[in-house]
Amino acid sequence: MRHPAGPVSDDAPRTLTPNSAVMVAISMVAALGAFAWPLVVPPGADVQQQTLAPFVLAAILPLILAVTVSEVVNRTMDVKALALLGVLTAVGAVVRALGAGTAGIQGMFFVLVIAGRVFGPGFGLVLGSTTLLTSALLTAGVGAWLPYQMLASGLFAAGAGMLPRLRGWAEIAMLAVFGFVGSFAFGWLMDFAFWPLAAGQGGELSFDPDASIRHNLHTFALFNLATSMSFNLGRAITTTVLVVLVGRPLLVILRRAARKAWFVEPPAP
Amino acid sequence: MSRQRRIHPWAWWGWALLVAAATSLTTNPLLLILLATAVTMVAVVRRGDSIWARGLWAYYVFAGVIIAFRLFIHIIFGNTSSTATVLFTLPRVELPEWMVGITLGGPVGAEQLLAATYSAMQLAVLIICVGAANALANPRRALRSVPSALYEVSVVIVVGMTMAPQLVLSAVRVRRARRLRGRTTTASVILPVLKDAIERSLGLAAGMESRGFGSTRRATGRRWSTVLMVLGSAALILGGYLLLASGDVFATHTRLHPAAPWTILAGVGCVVAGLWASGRQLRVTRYRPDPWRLPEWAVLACGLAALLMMIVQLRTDPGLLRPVTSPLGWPPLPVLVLPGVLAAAAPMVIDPRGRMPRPVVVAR
Repeated sequence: MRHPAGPVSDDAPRTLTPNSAVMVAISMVAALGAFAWPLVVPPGADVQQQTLAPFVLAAILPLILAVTVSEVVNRTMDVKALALLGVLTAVGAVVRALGAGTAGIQGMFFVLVIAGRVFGPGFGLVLGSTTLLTSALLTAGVGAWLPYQMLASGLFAAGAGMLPRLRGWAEIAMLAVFGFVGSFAFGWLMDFAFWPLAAGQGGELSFDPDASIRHNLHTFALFNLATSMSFNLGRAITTTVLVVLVGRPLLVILRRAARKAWFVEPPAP
Repeated sequence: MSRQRRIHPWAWWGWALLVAAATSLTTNPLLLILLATAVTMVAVVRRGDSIWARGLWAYYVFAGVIIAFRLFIHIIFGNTSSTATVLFTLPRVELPEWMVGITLGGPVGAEQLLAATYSAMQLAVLIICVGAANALANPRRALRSVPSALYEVSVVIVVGMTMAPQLVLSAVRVRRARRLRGRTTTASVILPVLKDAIERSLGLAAGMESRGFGSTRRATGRRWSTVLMVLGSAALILGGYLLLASGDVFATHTRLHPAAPWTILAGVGCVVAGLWASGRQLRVTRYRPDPWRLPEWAVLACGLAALLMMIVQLRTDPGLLRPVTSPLGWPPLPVLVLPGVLAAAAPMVIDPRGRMPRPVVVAR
């Protein structure tokens, strides 16, 4: 991994170059718009638009993702980082495939938290996207939801990379809390973006473009509680338990790899 | 693998997305069934022998689950107090005060249930379109034809896809070894597997580096590519917002913000130019690239024809595309769209003659 300040101590989250920081910020804004689109829809919007919006956004998001990921990868990563990224992608994809049959037992977020923590926000953003894409390709899961999942899990891992510097059990506690909250946030964001599609129109738990934002959020909370609380809770608990049980040794393994990968000082870019 | 030439994977994706766009314009169940049949027939006839070719059934299952879930939600939570034909009546449950205005159960009307079924069917056909593309386009080959700016990311994904089965084997091996020693915990299997994988990645990196991977990267023209990409992404976000905030996407009403399509077009242009400029910094070659010739254009044209016929119908008589369910009745068949459906099924017979091109290395 090419780092502007040369080899750094292994506990410092890798900082982004200014250019890739701009791209990460842009992808965050895009994510905000893509996931919160039901709040933007004007009153009186017709049925067709509610069905179509996620698909139109799913066509726009891959372009933004492509730009962001290519910028971060081309600017900040060397061959070792790419190989590490590939292997961690495989780990995440396998873990995700293993948890697919069980309701909410999902270990992938554990891998994302720890890797994002060790290798920094840029690496985390790319890892989240590549993991979801690889897993979707392996398990026939490509669809309009894929760009959303890629973006959400990328931001999840990037968030873990931006956490403050702590060591020891304090770090584990911080990662566990982040994993719990982040897993819930992932589920809520995904559900919210596809809620108008999932619940149909005109029902008691359906999205209503004419209602106030507050009313819609309330309806969504009820819908989410009724349909996917168990999934979200299962995901959050799995992530937290894994962080507490296996977090420390995995941090050690990845930090050791990071130190090895930076053994030779990279040539100046 | 046979050496028979196949249609370019991105052509299949283009065709499937165009048919999906056509699907998104109608809730007519007859049309939806016809479109699903067309897409499925193409997928079944033309899919290759890769492992992805067998994935279509998973999308069918998912589509079925979507329909069932929507109908379930509609029956339990659907607000059908003013209905003409009552199919059956569920017991009403009044929920506590904090769930304001929500009641469970009540009478279930045939009209509303039918409307909910139509709209769920539309969603299901959209999913089947994507499933067909997934079965037809081998992702390994699609990854080989990405723009060179995304070349390194595509390598990461190929490494991930190749490593995943090896990891499972590695886990089985470690587990067996642990069991022979009489002690298996999750951690005692996970950690050696991960350690092994990380070691392997460093070995892989050394191997790639020693073969010159990534050593042709030049640092020229970087600023331009970044400026273009930032501008393009910002334009895409703005355009998406305008599109959403202004009403109908296909402008059947006149509420479409005039700047929305242009902003999106400009954004796409900037992003493509930025990716192109960024890709020029990396000089890589392709081994035996998939050609893009007449059959590929024909496949794309088929998808486009389906979409165009749908738009023509939308402009002349949109009512046929969205049949009313009240009063209840058999949905009408829009004859004008039938050639479009045939066009969607036409890639069944588009067969690129000849064999794979000779192995050549072409600069990207």
